[in-house]
Amino acid sequence: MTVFDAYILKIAEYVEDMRAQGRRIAVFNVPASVKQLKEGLPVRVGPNANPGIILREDTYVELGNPEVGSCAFILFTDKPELVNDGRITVIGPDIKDSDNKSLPFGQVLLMGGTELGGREHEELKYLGFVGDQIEGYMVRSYTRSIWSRVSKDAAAKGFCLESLGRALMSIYKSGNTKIESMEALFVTSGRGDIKELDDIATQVQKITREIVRETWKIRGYDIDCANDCSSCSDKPVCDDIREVLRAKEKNEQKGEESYNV
Amino acid sequence: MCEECGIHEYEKPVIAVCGKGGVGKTVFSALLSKVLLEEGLKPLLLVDADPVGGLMSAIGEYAVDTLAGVRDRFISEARRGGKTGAGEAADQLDYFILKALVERQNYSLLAMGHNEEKGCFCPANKLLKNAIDGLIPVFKGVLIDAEAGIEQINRDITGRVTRVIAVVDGSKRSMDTLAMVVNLVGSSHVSVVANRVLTEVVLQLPEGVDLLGSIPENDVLRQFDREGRPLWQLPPENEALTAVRGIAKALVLF
Repeated sequence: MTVFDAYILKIAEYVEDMRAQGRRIAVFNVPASVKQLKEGLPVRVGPNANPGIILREDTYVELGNPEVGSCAFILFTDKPELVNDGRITVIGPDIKDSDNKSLPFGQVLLMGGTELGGREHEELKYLGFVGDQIEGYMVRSYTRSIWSRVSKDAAAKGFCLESLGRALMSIYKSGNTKIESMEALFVTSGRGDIKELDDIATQVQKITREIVRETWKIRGYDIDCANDCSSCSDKPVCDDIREVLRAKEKNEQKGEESYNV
Repeated sequence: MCEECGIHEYEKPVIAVCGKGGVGKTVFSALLSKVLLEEGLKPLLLVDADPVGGLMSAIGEYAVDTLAGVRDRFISEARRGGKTGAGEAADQLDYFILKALVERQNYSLLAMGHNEEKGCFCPANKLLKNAIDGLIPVFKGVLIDAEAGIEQINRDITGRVTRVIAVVDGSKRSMDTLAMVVNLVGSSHVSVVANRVLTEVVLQLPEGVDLLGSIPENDVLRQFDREGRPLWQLPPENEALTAVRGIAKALVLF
């Protein structure tokens, strides 16, 4: 069991709650393989598919502008069956219904894999920086916030939230082969609905912070150290220790590699 | 790129307006940006590198967030969170730069603002500069109203400047500043605009530096400036504006 299992269930409850409240909900089931995911896309996906920013005047719809609110996070579990592989749930209006609008935006990505654990958190987080990887889709993120724009060209080609889900799934699955199942939830229905999602995100962030703390501890850093290292007289000592730790870690890695050979 | 001075050869115009304080850099930048937009150089990115936001107010705009604010936030996050904080803040730079970008139809603005965090913080400046460089490709041109000289632009804003326009008013000090700019970037990348220079004054320009044109003293412009009215609202036939149209033509951008 991973620490996020309870929150994966909470997300399912959240969707049901939204359904009970009469929100417009669309569910898509897309193929599992990366190849098939990419085949169904109206835009290119890959490094440099969307270089630079999309200006507001070239934007068809804006999602999660800081003025309207946003929320984004990832959840993962070592029980792939907890995640409905290929399911994309959209709560609220989709891109084609939102010409020239600025919508609040919630994005939750759920991943399952028997080998997924705390060690993968960092890698999964970095896979999420897809700023330049989806043609006609610009994304900027900040802790739990996500701010994105869909270009007029991409919207004209039929890019929708199902496409976004497909694109993200293909990026994550090809980036980390430990992901066996993946699901995406997008919420555009209103600021209040995002707020509810953000309440879950706040809890998730506390756990995430703990995972990050532990990860860095293993590497020899105490991220709770509130001191300003640059003004600390012991900085050279710490720097030396860090060098030793780095070298030690390198040696251990080498040892593991030769053992594996 | 020119190997000697680091100035870029023509890709797209990234123009930096420099000169001694008080020569009229901001007024010229405001008028030139209006003319560049009239001529179709859009979308245009305007960078106000003056800490007190002269260009912003000269065209009637206001920036809530500044790049200095982004930089200060980054540094304080890095202080608070050590390596992890710095890493996270670096990931978030693009988010806050987009937030600092004032976007309008056909043009966008970035205000440098005033750094509260004292000190060099070269790595932070470099990250910020890279992020600004990342914005540039989407624009047809960039105009920077620089606080001081090209060294400040290279250090803090972008290394992609293609042309430096030095504004002079005929005074010895403004000519000394011009000489300094030429010394830094080489004469082939520097052009001069004479602002409020009396017609009988003959400017002794450094060798190889071209004079793009002169802007005459103008009462209406002076009145606009005094009253804080946006200079983009000057009457189309205004003499100073007409002079800047000539200067823009001499820049051979279109």
